[in-house]
Amino acid sequence: MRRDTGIRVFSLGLFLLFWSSLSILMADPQVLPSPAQVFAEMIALWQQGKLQENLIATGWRVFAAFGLAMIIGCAFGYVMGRSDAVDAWLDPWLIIFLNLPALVLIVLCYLWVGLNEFAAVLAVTLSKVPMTTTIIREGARNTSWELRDLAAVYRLPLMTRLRHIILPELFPHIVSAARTGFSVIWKIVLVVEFLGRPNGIGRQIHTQFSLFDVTGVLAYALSFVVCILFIEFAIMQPSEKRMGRWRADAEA
Amino acid sequence: MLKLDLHRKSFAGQTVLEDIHLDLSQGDRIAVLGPSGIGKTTLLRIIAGLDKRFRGTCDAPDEIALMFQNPTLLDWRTAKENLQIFHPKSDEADVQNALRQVGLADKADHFPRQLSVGQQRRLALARCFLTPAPLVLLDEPFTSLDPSLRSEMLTLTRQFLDRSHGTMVLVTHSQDEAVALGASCYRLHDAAQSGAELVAV
Repeated sequence: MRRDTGIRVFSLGLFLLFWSSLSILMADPQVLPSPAQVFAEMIALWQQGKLQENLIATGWRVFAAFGLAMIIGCAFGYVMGRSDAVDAWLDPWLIIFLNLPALVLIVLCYLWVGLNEFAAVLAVTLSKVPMTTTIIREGARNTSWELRDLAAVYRLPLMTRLRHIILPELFPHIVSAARTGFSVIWKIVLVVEFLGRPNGIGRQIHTQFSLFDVTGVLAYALSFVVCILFIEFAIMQPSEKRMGRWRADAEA
Repeated sequence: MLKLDLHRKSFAGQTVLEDIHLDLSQGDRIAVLGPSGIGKTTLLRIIAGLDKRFRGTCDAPDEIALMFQNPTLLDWRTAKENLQIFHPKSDEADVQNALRQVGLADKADHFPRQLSVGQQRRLALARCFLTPAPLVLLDEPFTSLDPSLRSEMLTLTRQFLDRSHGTMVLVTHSQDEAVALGASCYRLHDAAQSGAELVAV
């Protein structure tokens, strides 16, 4: 438990208070509903089953794009970090894709592939792969050549190397790639849904937007933020702690 | 058992090693002496089969044990796992035995960072000698150790070598180490204008 937990909780309370007073000041729930109204809307949407349905639709897109981007990015990043020749060949491509706005990728994917699930996941994956590649490449460049030599001399099978040497060595970089990746991907997924999917949080925000329903926008947005925070605290942080055990033990 | 005919090894057009010939039998021990940067490690990597871009031939056994100046351990695996991963055929008793021989019997489940520098070095030594390899390559493993640890490591290494009857190539800049391990000394000389050559001391 951090010593400043109290301050943090209090600060969060202040934010809700600020929001409430602003909504009282506005005196128009159409423009800014109070936290209670948004919460009530969330409950209502949950009871209608709409909230779960859209959360699941968005969640699976985030999950699929995240998984693909991590696997592809790690593979490219590792090879580029290891081989100067491959790096020289692929680096210009990487720079182009790094600087291609996600919005452009989304529009192009929809235009070329069609308004379907595959195009949606592809667009998100493509917009994230370059960042993952860059981070993993940096990690692969700094790995120990002595360990690699040792593995080669002892003729360790590829799977052993991957499991006991390559992945643990890259682990801190994989974590930071996953971290930035996750936070970027779920935002891009919303845009993808906004532009061309029949369901998902992004689509609902689009619908509520055309109805000028601020409460609806906030209800969907906040429930998704809650899910993201849950993943952060329940999955990301504990797994990071577990995998970094050997490091923590050394400091203790 | 080890036959090296190295005609030339160059990096980016610059000749590093030239005309080096080794013909060792089982149990031979040699030390290659020379200042840093002369190509000792390069020579060792060629013998180990890690560097194949040279002119000449190298005929070495399949099973090689290798040790560097740094312990080069898997910091994210326990001491026991560090041995098991590199020696998948060894059983629990072999591993325990190896740990005991280097005085780490009670550290099997410790991570390398929880060990002292000396313990890390001894763990690397245990990894090097767990399964007796016909050829043992040592790349300055005794450099920058304090004197007591150094003599302890040298004694252990000598014991291991006596027992396994392995052929050893040690790269170092200290002749004392060669003597302590009963190795015959060769010096890498920087032949003028060209690559280094091997000369018996």
